[in-house]
Amino acid sequence: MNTQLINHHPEVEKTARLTISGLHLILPQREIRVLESASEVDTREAGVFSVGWINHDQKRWPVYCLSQQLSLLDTVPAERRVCALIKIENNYMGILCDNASIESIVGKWHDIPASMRLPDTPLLGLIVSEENILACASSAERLAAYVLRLAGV
Amino acid sequence: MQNKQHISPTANAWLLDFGQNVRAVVGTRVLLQLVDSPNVLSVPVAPYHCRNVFLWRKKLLPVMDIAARLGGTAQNTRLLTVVGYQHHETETVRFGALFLEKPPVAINVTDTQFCPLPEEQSNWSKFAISCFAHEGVATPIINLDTIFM
Repeated sequence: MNTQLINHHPEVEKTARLTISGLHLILPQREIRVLESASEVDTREAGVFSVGWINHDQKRWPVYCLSQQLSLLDTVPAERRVCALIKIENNYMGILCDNASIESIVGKWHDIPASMRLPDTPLLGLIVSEENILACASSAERLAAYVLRLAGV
Repeated sequence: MQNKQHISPTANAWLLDFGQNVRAVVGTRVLLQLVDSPNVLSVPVAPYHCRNVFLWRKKLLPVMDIAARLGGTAQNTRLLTVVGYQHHETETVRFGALFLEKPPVAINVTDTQFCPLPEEQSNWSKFAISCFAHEGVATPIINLDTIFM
C-alpha cells in the first residue's frame, strides 16, 4: 500500500497544496490525515456523486473527484493519482488530486473580492506567489461542507 | 502589452464596448489603464460574470464581464481596462477591471443628450447612473459601485 502519513507539528503551521488540473488548493496541513495512492480507492458501490471508498481507521470513507472549477466529476481523469484524506472532526473524506505537497506557503494573501464571493464558496481567500501563481485557500470543514452540498448529502 | 489612449481636450467620457451589443460610458478619470492580452487568473466557484482576477500593482482585481452581468454569455476577451471608482469623494478609491471588446473611444457628453435606458437591456436599471443618446443609441453611464457589489 502506498501511504504517506502526515506528521503534525503544531508549532509550525504548514500547508498542504492539492493540485487539481491546474487549480492549487491550499489547506492547513493538520487537516490532511493521510495521502494515499488513488489506486487504493475502491470504486465498487460508490455512493451518489462519489467515485468510491477509501479505508482508514478500520472504516471506509467516501472519495470525491473535483474539477478545476470545483464541480463534482463522476469520471476520474487519469491524472488524479493521489487521494488526500481530509479530517472533519471525527470523520474523513477523500479528495482526489493530481499531486499533493506539504510546504510553508509563501505568497500574498488577498480576500476574495466582494463581487466574486458566492455564499456557498469553499474558498477563504486567494494567495498569489511571487511567480504570479494563484492558489485558493480553504479548510477541510469548508471543503467537505461544499462537496456534500454539491452531492446533495 | 499596455496601450495608451489619448483623450481629446473636449472629451469628458470614455465609450466602452463590452461585446454582444453592450456599450456604456464612464468618466475620463475612472479609466486607469488598458491592458492587451492580460494574464487573468481563474477563480473557481465564482459568479459566471466575474470568474477571473487580474494582478495589478500588487492588488488582485476582480475582472467583470459586463455583457454577462447583463444576462449575456460569458466571454474571455483579449482586452481589459482597470478602473478606479468611489461611492463618495471622501471614500478610498476602489479598483476593478472590465473585459472590453474594443479599445475605449473618447467622447463628449452633455445633459441635453439625456434619454431613457435601452429597453432591450432592462438590467441596466440596476447598474446605470443615467443614460444618454450617443449617435442615436441609448448609452448608459455605468455605476461601478453597484457593478462590483
